[in-house]
Amino acid sequence: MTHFAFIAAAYGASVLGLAVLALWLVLDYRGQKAALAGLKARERTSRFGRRGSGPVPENGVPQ
Amino acid sequence: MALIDLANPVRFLVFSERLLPWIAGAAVAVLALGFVLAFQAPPDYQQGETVRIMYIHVPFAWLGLFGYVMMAASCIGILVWRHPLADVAHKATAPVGATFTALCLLTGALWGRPMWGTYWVWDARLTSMLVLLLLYLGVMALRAAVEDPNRAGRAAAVLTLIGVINVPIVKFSVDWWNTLHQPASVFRMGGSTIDSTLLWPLLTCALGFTLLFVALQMLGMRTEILRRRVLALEARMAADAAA
Repeated sequence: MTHFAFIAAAYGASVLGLAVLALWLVLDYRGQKAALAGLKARERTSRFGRRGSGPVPENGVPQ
Repeated sequence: MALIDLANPVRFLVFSERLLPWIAGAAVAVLALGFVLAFQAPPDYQQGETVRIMYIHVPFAWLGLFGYVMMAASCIGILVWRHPLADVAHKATAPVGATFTALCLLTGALWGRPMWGTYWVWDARLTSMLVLLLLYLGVMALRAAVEDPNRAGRAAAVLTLIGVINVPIVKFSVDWWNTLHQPASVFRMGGSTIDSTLLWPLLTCALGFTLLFVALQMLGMRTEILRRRVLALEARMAADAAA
């Protein structure tokens, strides 16, 4: 195949570039999802704490 | 469900959660088929084997422009209706469009070296594509520089609309100026000039990359909605703590 190195470099760079973009987006998504879950858990804990209702129930719903 | 009903962050999250795996899976499948067709297609009578770079370079160019047009369309939602999902779409499109534009320039350079004898010339088409990449980067930098997300969104929208003048320049640069870059050969008056043995692999790759673009943009939008929820929740908790 003529100019094989140029063809391989073009496809390789494209796959690498798109893989880096996809990985960055997936990691960012997971990070935001974890942060939101953490904040929601903290918010529940602090609300129950302020009400003095003891530990947070398993299902997060006040009794 | 009407399309307008999806213009709501909650509905969008529900809808996109179901759709995203299918779009991503379809993108991988169509791209795999496209690459098989691209490497089975005969070499071009002038470009030889290097024509295979066109199967990725051309879709990157189309989608680089498509992304910018989508961003410009979402600016109307930002500036006229101040719709939060339009701002989310605008912000999520920029890195995806910038990546596709950068890959268009890179693959074009790797095609240009064996065909033109140089990686780069200050040709109208190449230069206007470089300006498109700089506009994407400028929009992203502007958003990052302004702390208030609403002001950042409006400022980025204004910059996007100013830069939209570059879109017809990219498209028609090969007609308006005497360029080294070849004129349009697929979307042109009088039909495509490409033989079907080369055209079908190109269109298959273009469909696969379009699906990938949509999947990446949808994932970016979901992330941005979650990021805004995190910020809102942090602000509410800080206000509760202060009270």
